[in-house]
Order: sequence, then structure tokens, then C-alpha cells
Amino acid sequence: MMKKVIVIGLDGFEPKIAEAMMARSELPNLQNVREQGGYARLGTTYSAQTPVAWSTYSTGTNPGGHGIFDFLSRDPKTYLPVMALSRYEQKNAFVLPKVVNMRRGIPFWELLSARDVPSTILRVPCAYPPDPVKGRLLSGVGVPDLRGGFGTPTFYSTRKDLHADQSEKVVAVNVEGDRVATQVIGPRDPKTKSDHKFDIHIQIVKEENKIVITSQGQPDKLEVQLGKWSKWLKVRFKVGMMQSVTGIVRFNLRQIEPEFELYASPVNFETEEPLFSISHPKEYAHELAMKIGRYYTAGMAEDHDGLNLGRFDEAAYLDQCRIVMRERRRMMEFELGRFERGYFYCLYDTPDRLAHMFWRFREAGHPSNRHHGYNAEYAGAIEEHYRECDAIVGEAMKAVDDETLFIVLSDHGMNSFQRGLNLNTWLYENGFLALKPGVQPGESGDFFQNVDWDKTKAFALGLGCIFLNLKGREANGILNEEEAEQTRQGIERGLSGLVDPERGAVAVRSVSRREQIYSGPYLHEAPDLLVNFSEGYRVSWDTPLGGVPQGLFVDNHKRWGGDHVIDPALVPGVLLMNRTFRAQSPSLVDLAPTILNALGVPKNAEMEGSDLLS
Amino acid sequence: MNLFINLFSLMGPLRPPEYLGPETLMPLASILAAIAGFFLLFWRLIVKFFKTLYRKVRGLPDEVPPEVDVDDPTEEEQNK
Repeated sequence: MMKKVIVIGLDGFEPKIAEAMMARSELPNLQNVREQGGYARLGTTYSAQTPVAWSTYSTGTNPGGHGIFDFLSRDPKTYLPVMALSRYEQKNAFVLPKVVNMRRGIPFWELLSARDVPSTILRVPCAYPPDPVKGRLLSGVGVPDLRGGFGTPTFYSTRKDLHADQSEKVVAVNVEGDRVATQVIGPRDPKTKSDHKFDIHIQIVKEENKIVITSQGQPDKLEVQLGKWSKWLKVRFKVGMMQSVTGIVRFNLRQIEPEFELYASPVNFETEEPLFSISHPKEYAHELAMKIGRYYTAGMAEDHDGLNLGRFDEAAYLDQCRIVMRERRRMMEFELGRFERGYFYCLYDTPDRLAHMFWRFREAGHPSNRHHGYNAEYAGAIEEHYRECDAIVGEAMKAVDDETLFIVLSDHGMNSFQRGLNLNTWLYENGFLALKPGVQPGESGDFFQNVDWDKTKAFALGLGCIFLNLKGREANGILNEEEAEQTRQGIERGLSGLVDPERGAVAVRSVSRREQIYSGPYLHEAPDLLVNFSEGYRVSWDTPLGGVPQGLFVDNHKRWGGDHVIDPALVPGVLLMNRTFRAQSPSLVDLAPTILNALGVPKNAEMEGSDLLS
Repeated sequence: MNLFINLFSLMGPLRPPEYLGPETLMPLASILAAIAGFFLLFWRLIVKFFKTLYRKVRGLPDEVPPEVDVDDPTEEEQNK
């Protein structure tokens, strides 16, 4: 039995890159762990996504046991995509709204707590609101920004021709002399649908290439250097009489002239008075901030939307990734410094977020490079980042002693995303999805506008999920059991082995039925079919929110050039332990039993995996 | 002495009534409910006010997280 289990999570850490680097002795600390114990590729989940995979890690069950199948799910009453990780509930006007975690099942730290084994858990996904635990827990992916989404940044510009994308706000500003008066955009008022705002006054200091933001926030004067990220500004939005909500925001000054351009990150929860609790105990998030300084609290810390939309460049994104890594490292070092026994976990999300945005530089021919340019300087950005991760692992190893089980793992790997398949368009062309009379693909917007539900047999949303339009389940369901089976078979036959005519390559390897890959109490919530893409392919950008665009295959022109939502067999994670372990087909479901057993706590009946150390 | 007499005469309406019933307790219940409501609504502000007051009286600095430099060269060095 161990006194301590220390787990360092490296989200999206790709085994092929890691193995090559270890072979070249470029990751000495990971190599050290490997030599002490072992290394293996780690089986991931259907589908290979952060919330799905880490929920399986936490509960030791397949997604049918915890109910998280994708970032998005659908409301069968409206067919509209809904956030799958958590939801807000307000039973009536007299009760305050509350957040409900949609990850069900029992995370293994609850079993540890029941046996009086303490845990320190930093930034675990799908624990919002935080799980009660003996010890401390800080929620990770799943914590929204102050507007309630995954993150809405704001772009301030004097250019009048800018249009806001769905995932951002654009504010047109005027420079008067050397001053700009504008506002930070905060949460939406659910009644009036207008935005709450916080006044800021910007003074441009051209000769020093900087601006000074003056406000009622904290600090009252904040300097932002050209091309740099600012420190945090604490802002307060008045949301009612004697009621206010606080948040924190960072700025990146893009340009002073000829046009003034300023980027503001999504407004993160502030730790002292978060809108909803983000830690257990509730005060822990602020206690941590008082020790290590303010930090990103939103689940998606890195502003990949800002880079994807071209609001800032790769250099600024790399800078931000370094800031996030430093924050996380400070958290880890502080907590490891006082960690004596039990379970310790710290997740670094940045390997995933960085690889999504820099994968295209590994492939000069990536379609994204034709639109955004190729810079060979960034071809090794992922490797450079992996070296930083290795240094962090080395730091964590300082807390390892003879009675410690030390684990480094990633939830999935990473691959190329060059071509997208318009899944709803394929369903339309093959007679499974119908549009209203006179409407053609490309004329139907997002959110299944113009879909004729009375004639539709199946529809796709999320990252490769297909739902059948079943009678008695969906609002306008038309399929009975027999017809549903025929539809399933038709889609499986048509999609499996689908070839991209432009490249002559197989885009879809197979289609999985939910009964084949999931089991458990939440099986009925799963998509009916899951599409397993080949390397280089994924669902198109129009598919997740229910778009039916023209054409089947499209080039991926976005800067987000790497992805992992393909056949899970192609994107395993990594697993390293400082003890010899069963290296044959280890999987994410095996981690919970392994950690529990190491700490002398039996697994529960729902857990599907087995102890890798026995 | 005069002062006490005057104060006592002011307390007249607050002396315990000779009859206790719903209509006589209503004002008291309203006052208590208003006080409870005030604390429920503004509890966080009240606590914050007294915490700030305490820190000011003791001459302690404001309770804000430490400022961390965005560029921290020491950690860059550590990674090398």
C-alpha cells in the first residue's frame, strides 16, 4: 500500500511525439519515470474528447456509466444542441439558480473520502459544481466564463468593417485625442437580454507603446504593453439593486495605430466572490489565489477562439500558454509543498490547446496554411512545449518518495485535421435528413433551421454523434423500432469506408452503435451512432451546431489544425508510472481501480477496469 | 432624576401589553422579519464591511491576491 499517489495529467499529450522525443533523450524526466516503472499507450474513450475521457478516469466507467458523451448534447424536445457538461436549474422565482453537474457516476475521490483518505485535486474536468471531497478540489474544464459559455472574448477596434463571430463580441471604439472610453462586456441579463457592462477609460501612450486602463476595478490603473498580455483586472458588474458580480479579465494590446485594436479575454470568475462555487471547500479557490496570485478559473483557459478568429497571432497565443502553464505550475508546487498523504492530481490542459493550434505547422501542406501562412519557426512548437511539460514532471517528482505511486498520463493523443465532413449534408444526400420544401443545403443555417422534422430519420450534432428521430423520444419522432434498425443499418453501410473523392482516401473507418461501445445507466442518453474518422479527417465546423452546408467534404481552413475526435484507436494517450505495471492494453477505466488499490481502498461495483499494478 | 423620569415615560408604548394576541405581536414579528431579511440579503456585504473595518483599524493591508509578473524569467530559467 502507498502513502501517496501523485498524478500529473497532460491533456492531449501525443504518444507518437513523446516516444520519438524520449528516444532522442529530449524528455529526461519522463524517461526517468519510464525506467523506474514503465510506459504504455493508454486506451481512450468513445469519443476521444477531454470531458468524456477524464470523466471515465474519474469514475472508472465507460461513458454509459457517467453520462458524458460529448461537449454537446441535444434537447429531444427542441432538437437544439445544449451544453452537455452542466446545466443551470431554477425551480421557481423564489429559489436561487443552481448548477447541476451532468457527469454522473461516483468519482473515486468520493470513495477515498469515505475511507478518510484526503485528496488534493487541481483543475479536474467535469467537476463543476465541485464534488464534495475530504481535502481540496478546484474545478477545471466545465467551469464557464461570466457569460455562462466556454468563453466569450471581446475585441475593441476603431475599424468599422469588423463583424463579430458567434463566439466573440466586437466593440467599435473611437480614439479622441489619446483617449478611448469603452466598456468590458459582462454577463447577460436574462430578463432584458442586454449585457451588463463595466466602464474603462483607456489612455494611449504612443511614445511608450502602451496604454493605461483606468477604471473602478482593481488595480485602478492597469498598464498594457503593445503585443503583451496584461495582468488581471478585477471588474465588477452591477446586476441589480445592491447586487453585483465580479470577474477578472486580461488584455492584449494588438495595435495602437493606424487602427487601435485591443483584445480582452473572456471574463473569468473571480475567486473571492465567484458567481457559483468553483472549489471544495468553497473558500479554497480564493485561499489558493491569496497564495499564488490570481489565475484563470474558466475551464478553457487558453483563448483559442481569439487566435482562431485572427484577433491575435501565434506569438501572443504562445505567450498566453506560458502564462497558463506558470499559473498551473505555481498551484502544483504550492500544493505539493504541503501534501503529505492521499491522492494528488494536477491537470495541465495546455498541451492539448497548444497542439490544436500549432499542429498545422508540422504539415507544410495543411490547408490552413494556404489561408493563414506557414511559419517554419513554429514547426517544433509542440516539441518545445513537451520539454516544458517534462520539466514540470521533474518538479513534481521531487515530492515522490518510496511510498509514492507516481503517474503521468494523457486522456487522448492528437492528430491532424485537414478535411471536414459535413455529416448532416451526407445524411441529407442519402435520404436520412430532409429540408423544408424549396430549401437546399447551404440555405439552412445552424441549429437545424429549415430541417423538416416530419421527414427526417437521423441528424448529426456534436463531434461525430448521430441521433435517430425516434417516435416517443424526439419531439417530432417518426421512426418506429423496425424503421430505426433499417436506418441504423443504412447509415452504417453508407458511412463506413466513405471515401473523400478529392483525395481518394478513406475518411470514415467505421460507425459504432451505442450498444457496442457503451453500457450502464446512462446508455439511453448516448448518441445512437458514433462516427469513427480516419487520420486527417473530422466532422466539419458546420456540423456540431446542426448546420447543413453545401458539399460533403471541405478543407479545414481554420488555424485549429490538429484534432483528436477521430477513431479512438488512432489517438491513445500516454501512461507512465514509477512502478512496473501491466503494459498490455491499459485503458482509462483502469486508473481508478489502480489508484484506489494503491491507497488501500476497494473499488466499487460500477468500476469496469482492473488494478494495473497487480 | 428628571432624565430617568422622561426616559421611562418614553418607554410607555413599549411596555409589555396586558393582552398578547396576533394583532399585538404583529409589529414585533414584522420588525424581526425585517431584521432577518436585511441580514439575509446583505450578509456578505456586512461581513465584508466589518472585515475591511477591522483591517483598517489594525492597519493591515488590503486582502488581495499577490500580483504576479506576466513575464517571470525565473521560471524560464528553471525549465532550461
